[in-house]
Amino acid sequence: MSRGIGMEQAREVEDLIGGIYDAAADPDLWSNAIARIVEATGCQTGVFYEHDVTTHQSQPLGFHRFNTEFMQDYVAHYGALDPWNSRVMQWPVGIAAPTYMLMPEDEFRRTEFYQDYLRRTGMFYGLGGLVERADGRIAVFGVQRGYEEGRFPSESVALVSALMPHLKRASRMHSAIGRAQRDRETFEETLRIVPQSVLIVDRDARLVFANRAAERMLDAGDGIRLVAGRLTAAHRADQAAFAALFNPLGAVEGTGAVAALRRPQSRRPLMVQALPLRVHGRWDPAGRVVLLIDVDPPPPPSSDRLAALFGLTAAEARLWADLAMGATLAEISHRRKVSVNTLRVQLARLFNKVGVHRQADLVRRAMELREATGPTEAAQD
Amino acid sequence: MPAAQDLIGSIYDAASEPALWHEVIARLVRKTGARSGIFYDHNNVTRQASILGAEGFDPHYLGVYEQYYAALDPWHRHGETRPVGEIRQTASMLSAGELRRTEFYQDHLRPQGLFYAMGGPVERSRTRMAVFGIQGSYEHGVFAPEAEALARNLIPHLRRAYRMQETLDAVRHDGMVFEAALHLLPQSVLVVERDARLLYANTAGEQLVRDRDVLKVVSGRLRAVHRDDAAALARALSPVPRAVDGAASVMLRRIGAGRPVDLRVVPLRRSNRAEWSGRIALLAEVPPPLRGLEALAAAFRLSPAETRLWAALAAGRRVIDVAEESGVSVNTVRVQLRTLFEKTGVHRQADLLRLALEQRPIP
Repeated sequence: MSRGIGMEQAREVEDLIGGIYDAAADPDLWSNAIARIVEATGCQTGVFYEHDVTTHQSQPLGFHRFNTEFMQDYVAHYGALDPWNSRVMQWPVGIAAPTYMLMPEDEFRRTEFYQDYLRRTGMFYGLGGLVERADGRIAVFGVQRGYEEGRFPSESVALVSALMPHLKRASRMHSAIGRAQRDRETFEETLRIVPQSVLIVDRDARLVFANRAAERMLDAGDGIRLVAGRLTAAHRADQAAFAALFNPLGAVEGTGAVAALRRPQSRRPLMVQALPLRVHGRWDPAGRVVLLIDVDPPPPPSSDRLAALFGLTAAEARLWADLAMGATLAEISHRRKVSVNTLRVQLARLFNKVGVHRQADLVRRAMELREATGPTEAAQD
Repeated sequence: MPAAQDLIGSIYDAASEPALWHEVIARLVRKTGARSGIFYDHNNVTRQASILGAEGFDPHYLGVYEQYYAALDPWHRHGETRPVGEIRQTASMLSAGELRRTEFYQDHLRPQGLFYAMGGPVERSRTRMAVFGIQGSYEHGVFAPEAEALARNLIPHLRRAYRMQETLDAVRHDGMVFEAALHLLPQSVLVVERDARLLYANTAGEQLVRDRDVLKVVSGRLRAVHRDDAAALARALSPVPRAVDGAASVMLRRIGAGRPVDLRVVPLRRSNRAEWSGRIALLAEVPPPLRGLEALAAAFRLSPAETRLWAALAAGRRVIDVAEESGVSVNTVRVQLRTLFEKTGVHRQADLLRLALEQRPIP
């Protein structure tokens, strides 16, 4: 018979333990787990909080039957005055004790903490202890009850003691999950804000992730479109080449496979590089591929810059800038209302000043200048 | 009782450190007087198992179980339809005679001296089932009610711990996928805490820090190498960038020859929230793609002749030169050029040139 009761009690304790670990996975469940411990110890209120030893700031993980305002008062002010708190810090980790072991009742009654704060709640006795002490922080758990309910029976002290290692493990698991989530968030957000379009796609071209630039590109149907969750080239003639990117044999290590896709509104094709995903040195078993889209290169230097660099006239510099953007003499003549013959004369002088002999060389020089001088000049600004 | 609670605690230790499952099973085997015990994941598609923890088995038998016998295991098959969390003795599922007639018993259990088992499904999804079981010899007989009660009490904890492990694995795996994608970017990407403590650098970022001509890490914190830029970098990282969308930029000089590095400083926000995460990303400019004309030609599916023509034009030669050098008529080259325009989608020689020059030839 007594053995049966022992079994029953053990089951109850194990249920309380289960509740604690539920809260480790889902912090919203802390108040529930604490409520069950409060009930099992014949208490009224309970709290589990972290306290920074240097700043004296407290942060509740969960509480039962303390109202939010009361908790805020504790965090803002009374946590620093809490005499139990300062005494429990000297206490060994993982051992539960009633508060009258930490401080005589009469002495406690005279504290500002009791008179101005705890008294309002009707609580007088506490039972709890240090769950963890690490890196200048402590985690404290306690349940409380009124003066009339009296001191705690030894079973309650034993129960809270038995729960201490589980509270400690649960709070550690809670932080491990939090850390993993924060790292995941950091990597995802960083990938989201890089300037080039980045897409993660599985072997069936199903979209797993698109960063902001990629979302804009997909919304505009700019070269790539999303159809029923899968990526496809916007231009029908490019679809086979695009699909070939997901063929693992097509992916060349290092540079990866490249496809050029026609875009509806641009002379520049969309250059898509497919790189097979390697997670910690191993090929992704799901066969996922990262697609990187070339950013549009910065425009060639402005005509003012070209003029300054080579001592050009405004007309010569403008001509060069136009050619560098890919315009033909006929187009420039039309746009600038200048005869082709005049342009040819300007071009000859331009060749002379820059020291080249062909239009193609002018284009090349303009691109080299963009490379070599762009950022340096900005640095001097 | 505390012993059982201690065992429960060790189950949750294993959730965050899966190598500890072996120890959990070992303790369980000792407490129940079993010969062996196992906790495994069964893949319903491949019908193969993957062992989370085991005790009392020869590694050879664990290997062949994972690969082969998992698919034949009649106990597992009986367990497939049972409710999660239910513990049963195998003797109540399959008679001794039936068990003896199976290949699983004859070729797998018998050589190991095993006959009885007890266990049940811990967690089940569409494609997978996690199962826990302990085994004993014929002489051992069926398991005692105490052992059964213990196993029954532990199952909710095994399930909870297994789920936590799955959650943690999923978050970590997602993080690793995003991290791996960052490593593939050609530009340097660094992430620092608000106090400039370097948290992460992608492959290009690691190189940048290792070169020590622009940035360096001093006692864990990111510093500009050029003395005159130290203040500018510190200013860009603090005062704390409060506006989450406010990205600043800082230009850092290189020691010795070489271009300076333009770093964009972006406060990272929490996922799906406007609030700042306390971390800051530093992004270098995207370099021109490292890609030879061959790769470009492959992207446009050019013929060798078209590729040669493009290379010649990019090198500054004219159509007439190309015709002469390759001993074909100018008209032939013109036709090739038209195909080249068609395939690349550009319409001018200048555009072809630009496209070629925008790539960085592989050294």
